[in-house]
Amino acid sequence: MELLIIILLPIVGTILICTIGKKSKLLRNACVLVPAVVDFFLVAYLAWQVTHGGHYSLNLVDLSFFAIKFEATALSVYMALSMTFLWILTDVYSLGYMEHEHAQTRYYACLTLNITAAMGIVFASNLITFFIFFELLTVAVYPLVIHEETEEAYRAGIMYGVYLLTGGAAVLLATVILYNVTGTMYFVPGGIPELASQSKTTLTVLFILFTLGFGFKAGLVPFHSWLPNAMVAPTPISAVLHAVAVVNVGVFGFIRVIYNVFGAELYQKMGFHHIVAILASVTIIYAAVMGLRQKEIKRMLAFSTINQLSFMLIGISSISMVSRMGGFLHIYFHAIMKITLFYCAGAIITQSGNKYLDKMGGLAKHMPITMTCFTITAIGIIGLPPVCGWVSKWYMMEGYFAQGEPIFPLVLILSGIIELGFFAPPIMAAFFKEEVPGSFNFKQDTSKLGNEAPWTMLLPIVVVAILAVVFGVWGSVPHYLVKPVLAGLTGQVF
Amino acid sequence: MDSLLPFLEVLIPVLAAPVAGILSDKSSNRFTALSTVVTFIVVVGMYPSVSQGFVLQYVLDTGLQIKLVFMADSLSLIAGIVSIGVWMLVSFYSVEYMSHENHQGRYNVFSLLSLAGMLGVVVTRNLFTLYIFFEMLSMASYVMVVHEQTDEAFNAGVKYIFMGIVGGLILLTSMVYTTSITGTSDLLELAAKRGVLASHPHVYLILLGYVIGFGVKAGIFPVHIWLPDAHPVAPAPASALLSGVMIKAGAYGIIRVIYTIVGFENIQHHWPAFIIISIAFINIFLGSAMAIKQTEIKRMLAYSSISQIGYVILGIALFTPNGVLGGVVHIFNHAIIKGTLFLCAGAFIHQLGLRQLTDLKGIGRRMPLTTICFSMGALSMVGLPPFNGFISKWYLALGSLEVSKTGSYGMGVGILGLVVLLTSSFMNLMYYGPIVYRAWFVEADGGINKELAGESTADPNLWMMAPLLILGFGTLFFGIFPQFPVHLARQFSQMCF
Repeated sequence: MELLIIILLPIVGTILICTIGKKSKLLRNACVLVPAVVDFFLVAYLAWQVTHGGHYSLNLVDLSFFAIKFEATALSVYMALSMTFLWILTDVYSLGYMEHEHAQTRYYACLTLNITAAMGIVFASNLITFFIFFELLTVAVYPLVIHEETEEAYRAGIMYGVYLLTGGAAVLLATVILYNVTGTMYFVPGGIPELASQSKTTLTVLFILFTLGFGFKAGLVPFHSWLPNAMVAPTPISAVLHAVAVVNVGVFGFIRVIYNVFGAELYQKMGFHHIVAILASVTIIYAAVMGLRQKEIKRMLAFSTINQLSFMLIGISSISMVSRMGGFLHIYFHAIMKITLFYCAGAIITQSGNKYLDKMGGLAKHMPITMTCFTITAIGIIGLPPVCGWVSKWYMMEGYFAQGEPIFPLVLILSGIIELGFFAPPIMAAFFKEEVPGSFNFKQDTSKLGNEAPWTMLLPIVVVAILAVVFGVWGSVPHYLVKPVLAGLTGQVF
Repeated sequence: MDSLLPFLEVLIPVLAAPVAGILSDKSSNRFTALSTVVTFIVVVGMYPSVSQGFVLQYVLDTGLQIKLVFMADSLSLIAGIVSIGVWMLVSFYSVEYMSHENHQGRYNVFSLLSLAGMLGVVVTRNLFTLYIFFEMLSMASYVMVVHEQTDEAFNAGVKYIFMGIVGGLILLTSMVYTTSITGTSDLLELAAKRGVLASHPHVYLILLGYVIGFGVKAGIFPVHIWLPDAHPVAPAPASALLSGVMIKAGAYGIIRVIYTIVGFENIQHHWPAFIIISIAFINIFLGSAMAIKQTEIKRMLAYSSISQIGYVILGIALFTPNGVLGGVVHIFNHAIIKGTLFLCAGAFIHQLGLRQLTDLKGIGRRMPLTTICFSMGALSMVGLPPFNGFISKWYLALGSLEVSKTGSYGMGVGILGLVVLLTSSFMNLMYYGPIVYRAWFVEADGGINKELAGESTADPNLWMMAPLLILGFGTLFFGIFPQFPVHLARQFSQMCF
């Protein structure tokens, strides 16, 4: 029942937004916020129940080869909790950001529909259900990418569609092959047992197809180019979808494949973990270097996202528990940090009209709160304490050192150094340099905080920035949840 | 022994920092000074138990995989007391000095955060916690370096922050590697397991990472290049803290690495020992040689710091009880001496706008009290009795003699150590001597700022003068009564050997 509400309520919300969106702003805002808030609390309730031994599942359709089934596992609620929470904040942020934009009804309808897509993915208990919502997410995000309706936006939209639908096709193909050879497509803790007896070729083909499919969404080089281009979307979309939901779903796909399809043991026996870790390392370095060359805030953040997603991949595909824990935690921590950075970027762009990194000089005088939050989370992304990014980095490095592969920790460190190179100059300029005349176009510059974004945008920024610091020094929710997740996936108590 | 004090010592400045940012400039300065007094009392409060050999600790379980553990042993306490002591005096000095500057609130916030970082580094028991505070120190002190917001300050600041953070990340790599080899990041457990680490094939790489990471902060050759730029561009009180106190975070780290984590017995007879002691010699000579060439007071003092940190490293790298004692005592003494000298330099700038060494001719008549303090600091730096610089050099010399009895390599190192100690004293005399001489015995030739020229004395007011006098006479006091630092340092060196 809870699962049904979680999945259906956003659809109901979407329909209501479409019908009453143009008539009453207040009612529409309620329809935007209520599904996100209700979903968050239901997921939190499920998280509590599941970690205390509760069991929840939902069968919508059950034909032998085609079954739409959901199950609340520790992993599902772990992913869902961060997504729904950040969705509420993004809804609030959007209310401020979209105030004067066109096509608001379409925007909010798609934004809300994507909750269903994301929840469907994380709660899916088999690959076909997973695939359906995976594609729904791809399709429902498209209107948001082309929201601006400019030439650039349409071009980015086409690229987005081609890339991600290709990825989807690969996943579908892999699912069909998997069903053919094993007769099942359910996610099994410890891996599908029938796979162990398959030939190496079959396994390799499956692995390549899955990597291709999820690699597109997780921004693995060379499948990453859609992400920087999709930054033409409104900033809240870049924040919640391109830093949290869509890309994390790619990583989530890898988790499902590694732990619930192949199973960690088979996965290692085939040596796939090395391939993923090497691909991820290449991505990390490439994206970091590309990030150095960007001139626009949002494109820089996009490359930083690509870079950080591969951190998670390195973590989850490790064979050591500590590294895995680091990878899983990084999903949370990166989501919180990157969403702060995007919120800040959005506030800077809408308020000052400046989207270029080299024109940030003197910005902190106009927007002290925004820039402080931006700085705090940038510190976290680089991997420095006391902001949360360093905790997961420490765990990942520790595990890799322990398993005798010191090359990957060095990649993580190198990436931190390069990221310092692209985060530090704009921040230093914003705080300490003089303003270059004409770089900003504020509507008013009177009182001290007069140039800050409206409270609907400022509040989410401050909340996530504080959370980023809290998680950096205090274990709390992510650490509490990640252990049942790991225990559920690997069967080892950690 | 469980005690809240080691945790409080870090918590107070952290909590005070935001408050200092909200207050108006004047009250912010005073509030900062007041909170350093409270912290000082907390740190001193640990002395009675620690001097009897107890180790105070406080475990903070925040739910992370590794707990935050705070610990105060004799080394932590000696470094902690001198840090907070100098910091407190400098904060009072800043009340007057900074009152004409912009961004006083910002300065105070980051001064307090740096203080928390500094005390945190010396008061933690595991690497995890140490790293948090080490990075906090790097980042917070950046704001103090670029305080003036001139192009010069930015250039120095960029060097400082990049080297600091890259060094920090290298340090992190070594720390994590250590943790995964030994399975613990707790300093006390690491001390018990140092054989495990020492038998790992990558132990020297790990050691190298530590030395680079801490060495950047300590200003050891060849990663010292940020120091002569960054220390002088900060406002004088900040220079005093950077040069007198914060470089000790690096020296402290190196001591911990060699004596607790890796174990001196595992490197004593291997090539890393040779590298480290060579670094010490290079630092001593390079710093002094560069200092002789300088024309600006603060820049000269910064190079002098490079030279002096060489003494600390020398003491550590002799691997004898008296050597360690001398190195640790020099951490204490140098903080006081360099604090005095930088605060005097600040007084010259603040009162008469003097920045060049040649301007100091005849300054003894215009600013007698300040010049007395400067002279004491200078003489102490040279290593003359009865000043405290002599005490450190005395123990370093004893350490060199000790090491010379341990075989032919030890003989070479010991004799070289003695020679270096002597020659570097002469070199120090070469750049400190003329200043003191000219200050007292040469007539002013108009180099002094014309508008301020006059017959009346120009010593600063009480806010600045009192801390200066306390520090200045501190060099004398701890030269005559060195029991306090020597007692704690001996306790530490007995623990190591």
